[in-house]
Amino acid sequence: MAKIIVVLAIGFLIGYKNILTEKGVKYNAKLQTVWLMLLVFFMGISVGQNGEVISNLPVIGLKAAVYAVLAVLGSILVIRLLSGLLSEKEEKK
Amino acid sequence: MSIVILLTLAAGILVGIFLPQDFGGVIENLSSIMLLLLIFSVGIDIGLNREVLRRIKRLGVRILLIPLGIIAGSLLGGALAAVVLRSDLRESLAITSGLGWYSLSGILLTEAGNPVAGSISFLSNVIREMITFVAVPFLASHMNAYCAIAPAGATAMDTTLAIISKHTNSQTAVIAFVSGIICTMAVPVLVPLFC
Repeated sequence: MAKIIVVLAIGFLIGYKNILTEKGVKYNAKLQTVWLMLLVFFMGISVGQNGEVISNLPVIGLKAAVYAVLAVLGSILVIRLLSGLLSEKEEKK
Repeated sequence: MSIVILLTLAAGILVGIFLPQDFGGVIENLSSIMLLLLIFSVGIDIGLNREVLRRIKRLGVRILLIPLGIIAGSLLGGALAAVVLRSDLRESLAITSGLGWYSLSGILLTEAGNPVAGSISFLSNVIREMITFVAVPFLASHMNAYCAIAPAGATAMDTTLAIISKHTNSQTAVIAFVSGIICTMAVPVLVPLFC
């Protein structure tokens, strides 16, 4: 876990200190898609190799949908409650 | 984008079913390396936005209310899901604290030794991104601009930023982007907290 935060911080500093050229920034954006696709592909392979996951795929899909819907509804609810607070203060300014 | 991700995932699953189990270790190592490369790349992206980081300071602490609200709401949703699905509470909170960042949250749970929860988390956060694409226009016209940011979570800084910006205004787009960055930084801290 520490690895992830360290790598994120190093990347952040490289971006923040403007170490990359404009070309480098464009490459970074393209590479990001490449890493993402490869990661998703390899994760797919791990899923495919896991018999427990494969045999429970319909249940897993349904559970995933429930989590997604409830997380979204929860987020909307809390932001709805907070938005009164946010806009009020904005008007005062 | 979500569709391409799902197709890539499906292709990977098919390969995985037919690939001999001996390759398991290699695949795991490759996933970890790709994850670090991806995180590094995302880090550069965040750092490049100095102008936005400056604007966060100007908007003050108030702007933190949105990502914090999104995180609180996602955890609330996770707790509710634990009750509905009769699942483990910590596991459920770990899944919804992915905040839409499917690649990271899925692999974190898998690496923590729970591949089933990892798969649920991955799919659930892909679905969250898809819901966001559909929900943003509706929320922007029926509720308010802040609510339109809510479903996006961590994806507000990249994949769903365009649709938020299109259906709200430039001020909201900046807030959404900042909120996405803060959510993105929160995911690698939150998920391990629960798994």
